[in-house]
Amino acid sequence: MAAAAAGQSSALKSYLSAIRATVNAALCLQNFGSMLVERHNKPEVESGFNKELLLTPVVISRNEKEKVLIETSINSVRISICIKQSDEVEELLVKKFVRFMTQRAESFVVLRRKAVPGYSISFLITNFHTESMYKHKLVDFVIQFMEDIDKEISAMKINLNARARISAVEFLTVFT
Amino acid sequence: MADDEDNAPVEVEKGTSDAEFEKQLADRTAAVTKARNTSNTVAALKASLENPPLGCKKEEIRKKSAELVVNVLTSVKAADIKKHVDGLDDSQLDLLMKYIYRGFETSPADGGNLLTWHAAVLEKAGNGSIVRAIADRKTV
Repeated sequence: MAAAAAGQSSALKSYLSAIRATVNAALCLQNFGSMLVERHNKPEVESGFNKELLLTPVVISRNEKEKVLIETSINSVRISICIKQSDEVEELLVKKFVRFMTQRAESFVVLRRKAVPGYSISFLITNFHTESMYKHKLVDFVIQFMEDIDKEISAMKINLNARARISAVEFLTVFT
Repeated sequence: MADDEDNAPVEVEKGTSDAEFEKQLADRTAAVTKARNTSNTVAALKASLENPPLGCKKEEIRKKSAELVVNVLTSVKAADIKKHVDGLDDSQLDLLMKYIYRGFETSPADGGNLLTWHAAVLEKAGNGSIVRAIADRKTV
């Protein structure tokens, strides 16, 4: 069982290290003013009007349910994550958790308010972020986020089941 | 004479037509199946990386190409991956990296296996292979 757990964590590790390497390569951003509107500066991956500024979007998948989409452009990167949701309870938990965070996206800085369709949550990192924050720390943050969110969802699910069991026991003792 | 050379028509590089792509794919599939029948996965891998359908408009040809490569990749045991990667040259490694990313898209179920290949190619070719995979206009 320890070997199985070790095998699983090494699969997770290779998944995260692949994502780390790709995000590291993608986060080479520079300032680029909008070519369509004077004096405006838009994240090109979001406006998407100029095909020459966009790079090939890349997917990294661990299995059918877990994948990461990384879309790069000259001044911005959009990282969309599909969080593992194995049953309806986890789907609900993920939905509520993600909603909690996206509502506070402004203080999160790099979070996008709406996830890209088909994914649970999206980050938008622009050249301004890479200028004011360490690039390797940004990458660390994304990876850490992915690890923590899985742990939190499973911890919440365990809590939920424990509470449900206790309340059911309490309720049914009345009838015994 | 010097005059003739100056007036000679400039040879424009002809793009590969869809029919040619199909033919290359068929040739490749045949070569790969032959190599796999003799359990020569190194040759199968090299054969599958020949003549990539770069810039081909037909989605089906590209999908079949990617499937061909992914089938070869998944048939290799984890311990042998390093040996296979060592046998490839730089341009083949770049191409393999592009195919790996395509494989993540088309067959996410093979994700675990592809991740091991990704790590091996990354070790050999470095971060540059990833940058070239996402920045190159000609996608696989």
